Amino acid sequence: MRKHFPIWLLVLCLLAACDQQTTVCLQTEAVRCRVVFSCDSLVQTADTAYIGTFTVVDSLTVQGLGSDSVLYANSKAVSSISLPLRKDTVATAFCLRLNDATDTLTIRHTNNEYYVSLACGCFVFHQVDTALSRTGLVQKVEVLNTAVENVEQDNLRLYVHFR
Amino acid sequence: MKKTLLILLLAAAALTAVAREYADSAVWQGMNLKLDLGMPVLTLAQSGGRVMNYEAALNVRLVNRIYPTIELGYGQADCSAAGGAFFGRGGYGRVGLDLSALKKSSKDYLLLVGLRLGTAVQGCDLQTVRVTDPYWQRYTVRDYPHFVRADVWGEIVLGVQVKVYKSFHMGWYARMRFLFTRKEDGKPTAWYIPGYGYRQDSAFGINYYVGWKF
Repeated sequence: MRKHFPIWLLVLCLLAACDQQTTVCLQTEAVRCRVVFSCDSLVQTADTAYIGTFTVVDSLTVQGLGSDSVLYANSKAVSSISLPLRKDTVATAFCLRLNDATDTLTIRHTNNEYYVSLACGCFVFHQVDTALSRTGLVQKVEVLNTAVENVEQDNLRLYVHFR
Repeated sequence: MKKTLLILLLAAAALTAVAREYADSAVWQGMNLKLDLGMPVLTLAQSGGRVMNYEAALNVRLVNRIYPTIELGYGQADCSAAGGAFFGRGGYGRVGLDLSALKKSSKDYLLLVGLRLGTAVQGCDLQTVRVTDPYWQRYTVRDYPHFVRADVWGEIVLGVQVKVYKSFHMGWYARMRFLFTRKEDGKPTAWYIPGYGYRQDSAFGINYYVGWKF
């Protein structure tokens, strides 16, 4: 029995390690609405300056309306952003500052609770209904994918232009 | 508790009578009643007291080589983790067949290989399940009270049985388990399955038992 003690100890340690795994969350909780920038040649007019097929924003600041925390602070050469939607309401608004112009992007969505595990708790996934902007900086918002989950996928495309 | 004990004693007496009646048969060669001592200790130790599991088994000896088996047990789990708290308790049963793996069968020792089909039904509670929203600074919890969960799994077992004294024997089983039931996406489910282990696609288990031959 004494000879086999280290083996039993090893088995016990392995099983204990297995127990630890069940109480530690190994999944990412980053449920973000991914937004890509583009420019729409269809809305180009004589007094509007587009930057060709430009899809990268020179300078970008993004903050959630009602939050003190800034998501992107004067970020350079940005082609896409990831926005956290609210889990307690069905509309989330963000203040965007692209180069020197500002706009408010409002995303209307539904929230679906998704139980993951005892370690991770519940994630909240979203379904995007509509998205709209207030001023003319964002010309058009296109919904590419309505499902906002913890996987990387483009959800919205913003067609922007700079006067 | 007294009633349960009385039923168990009556069942043991009836089994002994049946075993005696067929003792001389070439096919029927008796029964083994086993009580698992290893798993209760092991599950308690590895879970830090969060899980308890008790089990008894009965098998019959046919032509000294084939052992149809039934195993019954009870388990309960009470665990708090970062994502919430789980409490579940329920019964389980397994049926299966063991075969003697030794060329020459012996009355004193056995090497057994076999298969099991197990099922567990338990009542569960999930409380204070965390829903966090770090950017928007919202922290809420959800409760999923009183739901029933049934699970089914299969097992490959390898066991040893050694005679200790007269009809008294001891042994162990190593079990590789494979869960057949899957959880519904996004729905609350059991953290622990009595008789199986933690909810994973596969699990390893050990029994160390004492038994009595009839």
